Amino acid sequence: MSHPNDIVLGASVLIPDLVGTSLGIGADFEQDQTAYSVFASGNWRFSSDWQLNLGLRYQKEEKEVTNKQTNKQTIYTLFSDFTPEPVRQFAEVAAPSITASLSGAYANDLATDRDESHLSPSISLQCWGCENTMVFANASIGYKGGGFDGSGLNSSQGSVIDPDSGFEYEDEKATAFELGFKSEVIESVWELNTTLFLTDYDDLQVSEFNGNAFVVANAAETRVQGLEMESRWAISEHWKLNTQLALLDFEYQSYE
Amino acid sequence: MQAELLGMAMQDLTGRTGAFAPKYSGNLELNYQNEVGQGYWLDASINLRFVDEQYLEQDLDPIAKQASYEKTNARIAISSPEDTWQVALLAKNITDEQTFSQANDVPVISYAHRFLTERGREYHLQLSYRF
Repeated sequence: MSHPNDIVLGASVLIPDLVGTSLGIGADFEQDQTAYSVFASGNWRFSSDWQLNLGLRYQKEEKEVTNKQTNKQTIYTLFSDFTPEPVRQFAEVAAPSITASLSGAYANDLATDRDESHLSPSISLQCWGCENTMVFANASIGYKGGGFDGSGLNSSQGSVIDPDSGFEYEDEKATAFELGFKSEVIESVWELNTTLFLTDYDDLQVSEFNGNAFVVANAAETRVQGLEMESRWAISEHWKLNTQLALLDFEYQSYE
Repeated sequence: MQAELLGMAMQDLTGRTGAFAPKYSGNLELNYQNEVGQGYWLDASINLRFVDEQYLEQDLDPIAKQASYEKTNARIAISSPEDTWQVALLAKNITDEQTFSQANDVPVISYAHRFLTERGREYHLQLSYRF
């Protein structure tokens, strides 16, 4: 992936003295990504009513990235036909410092990589012991890989990555629990499914608007819990009523 | 405002909700099917979707809050024997609710926002024929 970015959009709006002038900084962001994963699962029907399901997923992700925001090539000025000559000359000279102070993006040439691997287990128990009803309980752990921000708004200078620049973000971990049932309450007439869920996220990746562009950051510990209900009711030969209801409680437990 | 312009504004959203997380949402659909005439089928349904208020931006900007809403869709269709042809009339968002699916800050210009609107009322006529 390689894309140029305009960072200072319409700087002429903010700097009335620079008539008919637009300043920009471009960024060249390139990323090579390789991912591997393996999944295995086993089901054990240990009695006529009970089944245990176990799953395990292994994932490995490698990312190599370069980001170039080089002074001479990518900080640029655009003028209208009527832009006065002195304004042009001033803008050409002042462009790097104006773009840096407005967007926080400095000239840099960065190269780095990250390599992560995760084991994601899952366990589930199902029971058909109740009449026309399957009751289940699940628990699982999952990961979303980390990565690099390609918005081209990097505050790093030279080849040293500024740790506060948000250039690299970390993986996100989700621990999820579910408890529910699928029931044919009245055979061939009314089906009702209900699931209670709770998911805890560590280092939730959130898209943040930093004033100029969206960057991804690991902001928060978050708990998402709720209830999902689905009902299918054949009222008569000709009438059917289908209903879905979701209740959701999303709360940042801590936000940095 | 200077800090916001320079991208240095910070937030602590501990204890707050997230974007795109309505407290409730759901769907009710009533369907009627019956034979009309010799082998012709009538299929009619009406659908009500309801969603609680939600923030459209991660920073929970109150400017970019979508109020709770309900949207109604309806469909009526007639099919010929053996399903050779079908005519269907659909009406979507019958009450013409104006809602937004996303909102973004506009760079550099403080407080300016861009909203993505969802579709207003629509009527569709669908004809299908099987050769």
